[in-house]
Amino acid sequence: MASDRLRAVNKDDGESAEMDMSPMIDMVFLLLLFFLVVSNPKTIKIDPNLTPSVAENAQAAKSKNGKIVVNVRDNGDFVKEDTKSLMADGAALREYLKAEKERVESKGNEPVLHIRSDKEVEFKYVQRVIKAGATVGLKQVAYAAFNKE
Amino acid sequence: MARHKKIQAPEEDEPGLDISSLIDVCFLLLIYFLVTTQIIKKEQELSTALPSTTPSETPPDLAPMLILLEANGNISIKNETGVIELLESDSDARKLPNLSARLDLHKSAADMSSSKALVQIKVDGDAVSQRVTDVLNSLAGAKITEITFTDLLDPEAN
Repeated sequence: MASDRLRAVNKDDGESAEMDMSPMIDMVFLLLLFFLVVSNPKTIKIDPNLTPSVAENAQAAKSKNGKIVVNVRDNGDFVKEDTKSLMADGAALREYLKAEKERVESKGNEPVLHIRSDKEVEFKYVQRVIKAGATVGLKQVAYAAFNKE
Repeated sequence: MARHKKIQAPEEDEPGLDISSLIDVCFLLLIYFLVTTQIIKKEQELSTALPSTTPSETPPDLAPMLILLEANGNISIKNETGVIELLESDSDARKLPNLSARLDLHKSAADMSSSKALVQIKVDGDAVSQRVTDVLNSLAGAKITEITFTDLLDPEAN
């Protein structure tokens, strides 16, 4: 009797079990949208008005957090990371670096002065940025460069 | 004979999603992005420490090497006897073999004396940024990170 019942329970009724994938796809899209909205990947904006120098020993940045970007164009203009805001003089540059340093440190990151200078710009303009960074207490400086021409 | 003929059950209509149009659109998008994408060269960096972080309370065991970069791109060093020695004069050359060789020697001497290899760079303000990068590139190649620019006290540089 018992084996008959067991056989009856296990009897194939002809309906194949299929998994409904639609909830999983819904969840995947929801997760995708969630991460698209909340993620804030830190990337350095590229100023198209300048071409950095070439250095084959340049290495990829270990971390993009804490970067304080100053663009130095070929005419000596100092531009913020947004690639639009020009800094008229050394005082404006120092003010910008100081504010950015405080912002970065408040997030617990080590500030790094990231200089993107045009390869043709006279170095005296870059020196001004370095000096302004030293004045506000920036400890590290990184020069943007391409690995190859 | 007719009695033994089995009656076939009518086939169930299974609703199926036609994904061919989805694949068409995906391929169209793929081709569009393949055609329109511009590959941007990835920027790297050369890292150094600012002069203010290089303490000079105690004199270093090994004297720092002084590199001089002129406005025309000439690169010289001040050797141990105080004589200025021209090493590189081709401002279009990105590789600086003579300077690299001297930097390697300096680094080896520093390693042997268990001290840090210090380098000072005096750059003419009119020198182009690429030429300074060439020097920094050679320093990175020699794995020298203690770099000081000596011209930051220039009164015009503010």
